[in-house]
Amino acid sequence: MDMKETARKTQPIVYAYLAPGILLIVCFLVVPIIQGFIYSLYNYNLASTAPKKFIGFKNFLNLVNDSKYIQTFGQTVFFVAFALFFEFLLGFLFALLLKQDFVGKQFLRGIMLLPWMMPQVVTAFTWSWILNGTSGVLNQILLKMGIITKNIEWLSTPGLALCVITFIDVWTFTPFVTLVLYAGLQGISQQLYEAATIDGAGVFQQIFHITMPMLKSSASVAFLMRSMMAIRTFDSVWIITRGGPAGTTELLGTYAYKKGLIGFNIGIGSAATTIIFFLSLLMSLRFIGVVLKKK
Amino acid sequence: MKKGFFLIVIMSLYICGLFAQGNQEATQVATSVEKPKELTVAVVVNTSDVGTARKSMDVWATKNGVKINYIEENTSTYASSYVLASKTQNPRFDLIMFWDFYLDQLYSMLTPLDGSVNPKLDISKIDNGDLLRSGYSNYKGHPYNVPYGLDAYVFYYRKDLLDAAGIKKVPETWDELLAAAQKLTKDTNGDGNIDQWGLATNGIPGQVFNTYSFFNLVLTNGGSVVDANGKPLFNSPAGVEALQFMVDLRNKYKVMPPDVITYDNNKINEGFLSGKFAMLLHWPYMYGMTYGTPLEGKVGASAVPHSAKGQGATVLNAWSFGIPMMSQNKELAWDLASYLISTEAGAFEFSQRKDWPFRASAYVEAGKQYQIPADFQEFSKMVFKIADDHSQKIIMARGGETSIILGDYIDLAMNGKMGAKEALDAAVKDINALLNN
Amino acid sequence: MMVGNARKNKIKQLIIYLCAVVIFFYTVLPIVWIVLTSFKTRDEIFSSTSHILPSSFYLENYTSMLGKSAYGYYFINSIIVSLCATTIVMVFAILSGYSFSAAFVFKGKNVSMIFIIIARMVPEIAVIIPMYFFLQKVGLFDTKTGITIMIAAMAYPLATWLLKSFFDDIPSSLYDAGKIDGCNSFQILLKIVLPISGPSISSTLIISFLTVWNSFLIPLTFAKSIKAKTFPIAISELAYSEFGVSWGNISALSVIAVIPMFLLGIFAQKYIIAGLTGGAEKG
Repeated sequence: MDMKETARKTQPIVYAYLAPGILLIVCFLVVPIIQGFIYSLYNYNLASTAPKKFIGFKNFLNLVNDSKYIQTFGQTVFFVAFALFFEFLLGFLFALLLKQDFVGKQFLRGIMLLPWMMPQVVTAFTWSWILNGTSGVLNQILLKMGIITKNIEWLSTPGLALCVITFIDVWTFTPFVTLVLYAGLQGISQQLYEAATIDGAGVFQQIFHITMPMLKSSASVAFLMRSMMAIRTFDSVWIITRGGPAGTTELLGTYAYKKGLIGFNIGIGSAATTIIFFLSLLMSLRFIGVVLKKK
Repeated sequence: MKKGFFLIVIMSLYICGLFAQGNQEATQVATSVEKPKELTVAVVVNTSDVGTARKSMDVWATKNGVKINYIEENTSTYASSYVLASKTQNPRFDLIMFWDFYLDQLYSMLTPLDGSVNPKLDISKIDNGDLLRSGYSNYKGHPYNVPYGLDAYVFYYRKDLLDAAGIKKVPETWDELLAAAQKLTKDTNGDGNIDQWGLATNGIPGQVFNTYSFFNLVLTNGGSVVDANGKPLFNSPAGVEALQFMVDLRNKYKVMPPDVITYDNNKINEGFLSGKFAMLLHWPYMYGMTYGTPLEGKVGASAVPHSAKGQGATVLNAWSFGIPMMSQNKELAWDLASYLISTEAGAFEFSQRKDWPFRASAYVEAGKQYQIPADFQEFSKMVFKIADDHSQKIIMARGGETSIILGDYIDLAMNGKMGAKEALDAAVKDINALLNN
Repeated sequence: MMVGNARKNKIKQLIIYLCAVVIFFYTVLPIVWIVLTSFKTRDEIFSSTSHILPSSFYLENYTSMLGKSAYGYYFINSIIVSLCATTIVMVFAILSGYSFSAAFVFKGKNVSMIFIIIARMVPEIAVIIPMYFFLQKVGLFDTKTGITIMIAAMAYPLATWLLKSFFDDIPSSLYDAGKIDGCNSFQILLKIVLPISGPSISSTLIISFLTVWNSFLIPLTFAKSIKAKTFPIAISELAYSEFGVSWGNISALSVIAVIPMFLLGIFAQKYIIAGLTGGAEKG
């Protein structure tokens, strides 16, 4: 492989192929993030008539000293950790299930994709409505079944609301993880399992010693992508709870939006978004290596 | 397969091109010699006022041969949008819709409407003596807003439930309110859970939610919310008492549902209409919402109850229109704005039963032209009188940010995490720190 | 022994079916509920005794929304923006993915790849404010074009990455064969690479289309008038109406928004999975 590669000359046309895409993201992603970082170093507030001053990292210090921000940060960590955990757990189980043969498998595969394909707006409304404390159907069913004696305020109870938001994220994105893991499962040769069975390994042993290790790269891909998206979650929280009862469903994304676009404070808002960016970067550093070494 | 693919590529790029082109054309038309009259108007879409306002604007536009480009903002971000637009001079708004609570952040980009900049733009000239003066009071020396929709708080109560509980007198004081609420908080179906609460009000943290509930209580306790420059005065003893009362209603007397801290307008509407609470402090449009529901005819309304030492009072703010200084069509925009608060437009607005114009003659005209139920007219008379007699316009300095600070502290107090005085003092401290920065 | 195995198999099948049914309901019930709600009258929706099924096909929720022709425009806006953005993404991503494949060697290949991955980590919210000023300057604020380009920029990295992995699987012998035949690199792309990448391209296309269609924050901030506003934004505005949420109307709009996705899901799932599967061989 290597020898063949070095035998090829660099064809300048490659740069022409790459150029449009790189140009697009430089203009619309890279330059803005750098500009955003620059804004975060200034005391830039749309509402004040004072001109913006350079204040260095003061905005970041303010964020760290803001108890609300710390709370938001903690909630985001909780959210990302649990959401990813369940998405992978369920995704793995679903993928295993899909590998089996049964009637209606194709149909189920298609149906299973729906939560991920629906616009997040619709998902948010659907669950808001189902979980509505007064008129939501979940409470009504639970009441009728006698499991609870009075309505649970799913989205208005501090603590519970965050769990609900996490659940909704799991419901929405598990299909995606299932898909990636399923694709990974396809790549595992059946012979390995057959050999293991002959050696007397049970089902669970096979899962642990064959399936999981071989899924590592697919799982890394899925983890990388999901974690990036989970950290910046905005849509569902914004529509369902707007930050929630007593700020208990505030996530980094909604915090930044509130500070920046609603609160006029571009400096702090930009600091908050810069932090989100660096967090995503940090979380994925480990996995970029794994992912790139695909060859 | 690849042929089809390329066909799609080319066609799509073509469509994209068309639309990019389309945008250029619009600007080219505007700069050509024969200038068709055009206005750029910003409206805030999730409000009750926007429906009637837009219809009136379209009527005016047809009559005057003007094309109106509507820019749709939403309630959370419109203020910062306007400020951003004034800094970038784009979109060059000619008329903007806003709640006058935000005047402190917006007045510097607006044209004063007392003739000082342009003698034609003078609101006193179109007053005719029947415009509610409190609607367009001066801020920092000049009026800046044309008041369209009147927003004052009203006290609603379920007549049937009060009767059933033997409450003869409609609560007028805090004590009476509390007593009535206690009688009305009960378990109606015997399952051991309270499903009917005595009272509710907006409780979610935010600019106009729990802060406004609090402001009402401050005013009816004889206190002041802000001074003439919008700086906070609400941590006075009267203010602390007011917050304490609000907190007690939920935590001590338990006449407000515990989830009241999550109530935005929608939850209030839903809750009241489904009978979850018997009494309510809310905006005027609630009354019109009862038509066509099981609550029709069963709801009474009066002024917000006051404390023993206070008197009847309420907040007053208006969904308004203003003309930005950057507009290049000020006189045309003024013509439109004048129409919006004319008797004709006001009558139409009132006829839709969701908003209340500031012009007294509009009500009379509406009664003549449209079918307005008698009880609604009575209700509206009362609202207008409340706004006339005892209302106070609230404009907070840098209201967009300061109200969020206050809302968060009120929320902490409501959750029992901070005492009332502690919370208000902390809020004032943070607000002053922000204002002096 | 045989009997034991048969029984073990039956139990296994039973468990599988049970799981499948559970997953089915877990996935589908919320969606079914919103469809049912869209056909209910206001009273049915809010009554404290639940009506599971609407008493009749109450179409008012749909007709009142469609009557307000603005929603038709928003839907068309969404379609136009999504189609254009997807096209841009696919064209750019195919070209870029191709350049990262085994067909080429050039300086900075790995660096560019990492650059693109890192670009993907930029959260939309970070680009909103700087982009606000930029779009104003170039006159693209509140236009479909502006939104299209921004959304395309956000979807491009993922598409490139996916396509790169797929193209990586193409054995270099095919490229060599093309070269021997005297094709230049573009012809190789057209005649060799694309035809065999059908499933991968379809799956990338569908995934990109989804990302673009469901995009929320960018249109929320940059689409202010009927010229540019997209459907998801229009729906979300209904929810925070000062005046009252009409769950019936929102449900109706949600159903309309979901139908294309539903159809896509049922019919295109083969492609999505085939594409991802084909690319996983290298495991």
